[in-house]
Amino acid sequence: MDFLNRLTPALPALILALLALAGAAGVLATGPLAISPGDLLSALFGQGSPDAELVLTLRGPRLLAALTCGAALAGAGAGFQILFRNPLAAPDLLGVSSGAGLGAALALLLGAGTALVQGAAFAGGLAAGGLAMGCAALTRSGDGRLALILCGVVAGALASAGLGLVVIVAEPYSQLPAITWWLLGSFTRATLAEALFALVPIGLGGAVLLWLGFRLDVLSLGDEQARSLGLPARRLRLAALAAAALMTSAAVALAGIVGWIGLLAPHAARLIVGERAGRLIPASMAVGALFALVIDRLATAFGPAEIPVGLLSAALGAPAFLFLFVATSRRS
Amino acid sequence: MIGLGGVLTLSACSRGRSSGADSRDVVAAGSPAALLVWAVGRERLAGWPRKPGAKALAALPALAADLPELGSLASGGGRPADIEAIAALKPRLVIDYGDTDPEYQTLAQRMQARLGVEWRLIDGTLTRIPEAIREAGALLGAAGGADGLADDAAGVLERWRSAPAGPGFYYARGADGLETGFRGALATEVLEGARWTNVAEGSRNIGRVTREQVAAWDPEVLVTLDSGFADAIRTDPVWRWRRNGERRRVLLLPDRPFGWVDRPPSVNRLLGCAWLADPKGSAMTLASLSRRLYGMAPVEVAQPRWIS
Repeated sequence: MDFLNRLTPALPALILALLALAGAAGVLATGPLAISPGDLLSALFGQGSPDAELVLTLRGPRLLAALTCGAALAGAGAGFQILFRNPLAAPDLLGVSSGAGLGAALALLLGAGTALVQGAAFAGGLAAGGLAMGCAALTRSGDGRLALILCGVVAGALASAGLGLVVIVAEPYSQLPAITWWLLGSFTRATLAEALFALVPIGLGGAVLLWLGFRLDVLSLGDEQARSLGLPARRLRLAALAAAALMTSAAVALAGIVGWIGLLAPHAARLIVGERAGRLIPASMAVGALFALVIDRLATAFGPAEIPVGLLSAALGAPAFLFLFVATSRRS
Repeated sequence: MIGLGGVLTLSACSRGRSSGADSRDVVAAGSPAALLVWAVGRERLAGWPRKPGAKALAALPALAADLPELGSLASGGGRPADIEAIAALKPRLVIDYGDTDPEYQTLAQRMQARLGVEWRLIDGTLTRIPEAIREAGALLGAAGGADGLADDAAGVLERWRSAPAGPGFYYARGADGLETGFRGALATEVLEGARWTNVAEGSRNIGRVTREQVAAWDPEVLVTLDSGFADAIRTDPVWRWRRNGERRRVLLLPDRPFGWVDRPPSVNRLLGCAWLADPKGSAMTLASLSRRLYGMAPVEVAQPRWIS
């Protein structure tokens, strides 16, 4: 009974995670190569036809990329929203996505291969986040939240300006399309090795946010309250910000700029599990993973051409966000 | 940023207008037009809309590197030209080469009114390359040379149209090969016109697809201009093996100084047509065309490579 009582708070997140896994199974079973579920199941145990094994080779990394990117962006978004007590906070708050976009665009301009492009995007995201946090540390503005937001806007604007410059000087018949496609986002370009590699920073960042748990709730009340409870507010906030920036950079490096997940998923999860960080962050990650799976499936559902997931996430995320906003405001 | 662009353009222009600059009085609106003017009357070209890369310049006569970058006056990407800097060059003519539908004709009229310089829009259809060369020759006062090149082009296109049917292909663009021209797209016109079958059915435009979609189409041949992509997939079983167990062939077409089937859509595509018309016996034609189009020495002319 005690076990059940302890399990109950985690139940909604568990159900969401199971839903995400069911979605993953659905996505794994559908695509341009028609394979029966039985054949696919056999392939999972190394007994399938060559076509079924090919399907696993192709859909596996894509699924992993969608799941991890969706979870990372949503987890980072939830972390930012709690820390800043701001429902409009999103993973790009510190300019991380714009910095990652600039890094990738520069690498594509220089003719780098896929791995280098991802590395440059990751480094660019961390650099922009580091710039915002570094500049905010130089200010003496209250508990630093406003300074962080403003410095994040500055870092993002600088990165966007740099990106604009890269777009203008890019060769229009090869580099420019490559940069445009990259920025619009896709879960299909990741290889298994790349998707697994991205799991390291995303897992590390997610673990830090989950470990912070209730401390994030305390931090959201302000530094004085946190210190009065014996928490090293400044260091914990830095750890949370670094973790969220790490997750966002890794997700953008893997899939390009996929907006709205980090904003929408925490709001949806909040309706189910409430405000407490210990529940909200894992639930947000599960909702984000599910949303990413849906848009990934839709990306190739209307013909052979892939619709960029960045476009789909905005097209679906914006009205869904509006719906959630209306629903929650009516309830309150 | 725009201000900086303007300063760079002006300084580049001033550097470029040294000896012989007075005769360089024709501005190409975009890269397709620049290649047409370069082929027909390169001594009249005032500068490049976008300067070719170092490898392309190495294959072209020294004049190519001396010409300044002016920016693009045409829509469709690339650094936009500073109109004031273009006007300061006092060109006698601007040539645009490509679509001639009403949208582009309106743009041509607007630009002519803004610049106060004659703006000629030449039809960029692949099969009308001979006519485009003749028209450009007449405009540039180089009708004699242009007529010879136009006759060569007409011969190449005639042989290209009657080439024997080719294999089913997927045209892989970009470093990851997932950008493609769907059947009917401008980017694959050279290959399809030679009766190669484009497996990518879709929007008749450029788009991105997934690796699974390419596997489902199961093309016999991958065609690419990107040597980086061709190298990257050398040992990738998903790209290199067909579903029936056969090894898939990869055709790496030259992209220097300019692409043979694409990039940009201009007279450069004649080389792709010439090779597709007679893959084994076109060496002389390719050398002759490369010399006439670009001023290249025969030794500089790259050959397509089959990677098995």
